[in-house]
Amino acid sequence: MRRNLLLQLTVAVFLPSLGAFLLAWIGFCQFENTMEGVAGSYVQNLARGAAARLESSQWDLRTDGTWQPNQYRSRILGLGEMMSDEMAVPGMFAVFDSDGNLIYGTSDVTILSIIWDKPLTIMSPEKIRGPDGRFYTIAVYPMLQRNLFVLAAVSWDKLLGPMVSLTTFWPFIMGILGLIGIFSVYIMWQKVIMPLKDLEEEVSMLSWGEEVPLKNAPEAVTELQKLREALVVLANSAIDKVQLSRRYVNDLVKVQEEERARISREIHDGPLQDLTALIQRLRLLSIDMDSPVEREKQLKEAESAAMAGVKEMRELCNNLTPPWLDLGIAQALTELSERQSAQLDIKIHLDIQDIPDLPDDATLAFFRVAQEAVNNSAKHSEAENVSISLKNTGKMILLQIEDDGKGFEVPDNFTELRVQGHRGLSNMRERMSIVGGHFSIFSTPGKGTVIRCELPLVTVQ
Amino acid sequence: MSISLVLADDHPLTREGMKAYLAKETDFNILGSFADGESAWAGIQQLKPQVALLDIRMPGIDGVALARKIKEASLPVASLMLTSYDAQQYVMASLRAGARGYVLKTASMETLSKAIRIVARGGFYLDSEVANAVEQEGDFVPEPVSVREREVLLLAARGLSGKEIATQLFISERTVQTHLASIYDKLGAKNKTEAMLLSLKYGIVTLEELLD
Repeated sequence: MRRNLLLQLTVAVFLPSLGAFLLAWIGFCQFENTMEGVAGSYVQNLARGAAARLESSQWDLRTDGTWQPNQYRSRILGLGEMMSDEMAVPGMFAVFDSDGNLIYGTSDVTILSIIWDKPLTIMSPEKIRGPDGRFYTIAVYPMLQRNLFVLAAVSWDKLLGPMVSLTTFWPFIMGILGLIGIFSVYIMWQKVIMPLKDLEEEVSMLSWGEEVPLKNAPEAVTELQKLREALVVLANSAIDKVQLSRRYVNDLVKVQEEERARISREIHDGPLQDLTALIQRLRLLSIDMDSPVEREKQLKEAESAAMAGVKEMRELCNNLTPPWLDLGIAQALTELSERQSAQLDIKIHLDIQDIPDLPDDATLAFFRVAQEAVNNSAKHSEAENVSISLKNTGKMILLQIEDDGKGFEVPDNFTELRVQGHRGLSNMRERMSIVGGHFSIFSTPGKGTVIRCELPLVTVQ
Repeated sequence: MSISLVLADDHPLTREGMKAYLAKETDFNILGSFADGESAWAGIQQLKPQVALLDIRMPGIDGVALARKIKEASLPVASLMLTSYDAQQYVMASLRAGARGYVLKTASMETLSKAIRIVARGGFYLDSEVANAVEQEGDFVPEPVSVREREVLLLAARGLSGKEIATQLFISERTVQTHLASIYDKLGAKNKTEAMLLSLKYGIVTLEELLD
């Protein structure tokens, strides 16, 4: 039902308009016929009456063969006068002979002189257009005994007057209204319905995130044009989003590869070299077995190479995933702050208050955020002091890391930032959101940085 | 006659171990040792040793790039790669860069000394750990390779596909595959790169022919 509403609306406007137009046409034709009938019978009556009257009178045939109308002339005149004056009957008439010579005519009948030469059908009324542009209905009646003809005519204007205007104007107005209706439907079809259908088709076929609908539909109405523009904006933002997420995935893969490369490099440069050195020393030792001094020296070198290898592998393990994370977040943060303050040459103040046992992933998330935050403070913000506090507020676990460094303008969009290659902040935020926590950062240039991580206790238990 | 050497290795423990190794050989004269590519390049230009022992991974200029620099500057220095990487593509890259030999850091003292002496004489040395499918005893002499087989190997070494080799030699692609399989079999190689390296090692082809 709703699907075809637009079509139904169109039909609802179109059909009445068409109906009005057709009715107007039919009405017009009907009126025309009726009026023709009225005028016809009127002139027929007029002509017949006049002929009967005149015929009943005595017209004399003169000796020379001509008719002597003289004594009847007054009768004809009288008839004419009666028609024009006394009875005020509209109409005119003329009497003429079979050769077409006018014998008598009312004063205004000369208007119809144009038709004298035309062949006329006897007895049946006919509608003609006079030289003055008006319509007349005429009828011719013969006076058989005298071989004369009576022609009666009536002007439509005079006989029907306002009826003519009505029959012409009413259907005309209705017709115009109908046409306007049909034209409106056409315009609506052309400028609203078709563009709307096109748009619907285009949007439904559109692969979002890859394509944009056409920007312009010149035939459409402004509102549709605006809608189209809005859709273009929407499609563009979908494309941006897809590209962003594609770059994001690329970025993730890249990070993974970089991490692998880093680990591979660290193993190559560290333990692998130490083991190589150990092998070298063992081989040298086998040569130097006989000299106690050399033997002692090679043994010492071999031991220090092995020790270096162990130290480097331990470091590698610690960096990959600190084993002491198992001890819980409090110990992990303590260990971290001790190591980092030594490594990064920065003072770390730690404040940890009765924290319950946290799940491993939450511990890891807090740990990584703290690690990254302290790293940032030491490497980017030139801070001298960092305070790490971990509290249980009763509703949530709150980790806050504060430094006295130079601060920075916090960006609005972490994802954009990540794509640009600055992964630290977005990594911290993602780590917290994965475990159901909330990450926020506050910083003003020159006034240090505060990082807050909130983890609701509900999500922990 | 002593052989003059420089050593470029960024890892202090292996560098010291290597120096101790080399000091055992009375005919080796260590002119200098360097911990990064830049200082090694400067040292090589100044000292012009007969043999430069180059680690591949180093800060600054890496070993392969150093070998290329030596070749481009036409210095009378033979580059001998001394590395922990055993990838054959690294070997090929080093040889293309002009290195005359490739030895792993874990090679025995005898092997290293032998390699140094060979490249100092203008020869070519390849560590058997890098290109040795079968553990060969003593001086393994491969079955002689036919002239046609040698041709096929050289074209394959230049990167031509089986089809292209077939077209060029007016033989069928199947015959090309048969020749290659025969070469692999004779040399004890498992793939094209290894076949190339082994044929170099056994002197079936020269470095110049192969890299032409």
